[in-house]
Amino acid sequence: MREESRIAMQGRVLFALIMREMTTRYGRNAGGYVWAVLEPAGTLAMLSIVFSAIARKPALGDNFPIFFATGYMAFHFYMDISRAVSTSVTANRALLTFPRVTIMDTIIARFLLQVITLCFVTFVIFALLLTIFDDQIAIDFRYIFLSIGLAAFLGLSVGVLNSVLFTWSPTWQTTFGIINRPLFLISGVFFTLEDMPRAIQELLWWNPLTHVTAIMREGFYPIYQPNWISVPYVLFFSTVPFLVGVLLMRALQAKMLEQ
Amino acid sequence: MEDVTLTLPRGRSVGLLGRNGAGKSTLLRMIGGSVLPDKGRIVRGAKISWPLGFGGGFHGSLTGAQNVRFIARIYGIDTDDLVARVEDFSELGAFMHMPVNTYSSGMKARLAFGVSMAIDFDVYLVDEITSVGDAAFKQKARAAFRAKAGTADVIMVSHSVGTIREYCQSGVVLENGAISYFHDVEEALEHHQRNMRQ
Repeated sequence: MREESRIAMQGRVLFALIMREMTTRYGRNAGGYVWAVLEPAGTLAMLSIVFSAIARKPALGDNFPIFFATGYMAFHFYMDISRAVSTSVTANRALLTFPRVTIMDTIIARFLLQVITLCFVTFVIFALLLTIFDDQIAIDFRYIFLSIGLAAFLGLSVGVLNSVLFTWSPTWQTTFGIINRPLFLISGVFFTLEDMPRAIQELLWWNPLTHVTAIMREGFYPIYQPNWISVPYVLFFSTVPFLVGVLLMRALQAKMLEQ
Repeated sequence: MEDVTLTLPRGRSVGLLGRNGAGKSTLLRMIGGSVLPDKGRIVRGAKISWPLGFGGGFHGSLTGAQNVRFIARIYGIDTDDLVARVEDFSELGAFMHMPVNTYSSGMKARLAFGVSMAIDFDVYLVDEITSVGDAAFKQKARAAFRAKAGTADVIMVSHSVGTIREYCQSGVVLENGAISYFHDVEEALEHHQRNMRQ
């Protein structure tokens, strides 16, 4: 048997999984990537049109599309990664026949591909918006990367836990889908925490995504300096499902593969 | 299976025997590594294939060639070379470049067989090489297996006594959660038939 480092083999398996994923999702035509940009762009356009009819100015700056983008793209990072990772096992079921391909491999591969694609999409959208529109924007990449990093970790974490739970309970999969919908409304995407009444602010604070979207906004609006953000809280919130998910996965790996 | 200890030596092909539901296919998959034991461990000293004969392991929306490339990557083999050799062996022609979900079950089996033969494993796991392709292809398959006989072993599940006799020198009998290894396949077959009669 050829002597080969585990890392080299791991790398090959991940590469194979990522290539396979890219071929099926974005493969035949560039259409896949175009859609990856159009989908969030469409949501942003719709939000901007609706809100500019209701209000004169967004909560920050003068431009609706940019304001929403700063909130939505962070949220989208979380949502998309969470969704992709939670279906890693079901989407790659056939490939898990190969002993060299483990459940963790499929999760890592999906996560990496999703992060790369989302970075591309986010870059394209912001580049377009900032070129077309003019606003009092001063980009601070530290906040942008922090926001993206936290969103990605939270998405990975929830995704890992769900990848186990979804295999066990299709009911949970449906329930989770339903619970997730209002999440969009309470994550600070189209408002800032400061806009809300005190009592609501207290509640919204508990949603880690509210922190994530606010951090993203700090990266664009120099005048926005929230004092309530807690990165340790977001990290703690993200670590719990991740650890539970990994532990469950170890315990139930046998069952998950057999499904 | 409970409290099982089993050592399979290299250089001998083994047939797994047992009644339906005894756990032959599961044992095969455990040897391959796609099913994990609830307790205990499995130590492998050779390059083992994945269980052949399932037609599983192929992603439906990818073409035959794309699936082969995936397998080549995870086993660290040159992709173009493997695709060429599989194309040659499985005789799928234009279908190599069509999605696998357009294949008949016979074609999937031929592709699976073609890939596994094209990679040099030390041990081949085979689950019922039933009717894979037409007579000419079966001949080709038999010849390929024979060519490998010198360097590779086979661990096989089959309901055909003839097939077991043809390929295996040793046998393992599964019955009621217990496993018995027989160095001589004839003894294994005899034991198995006795179990079936009870």
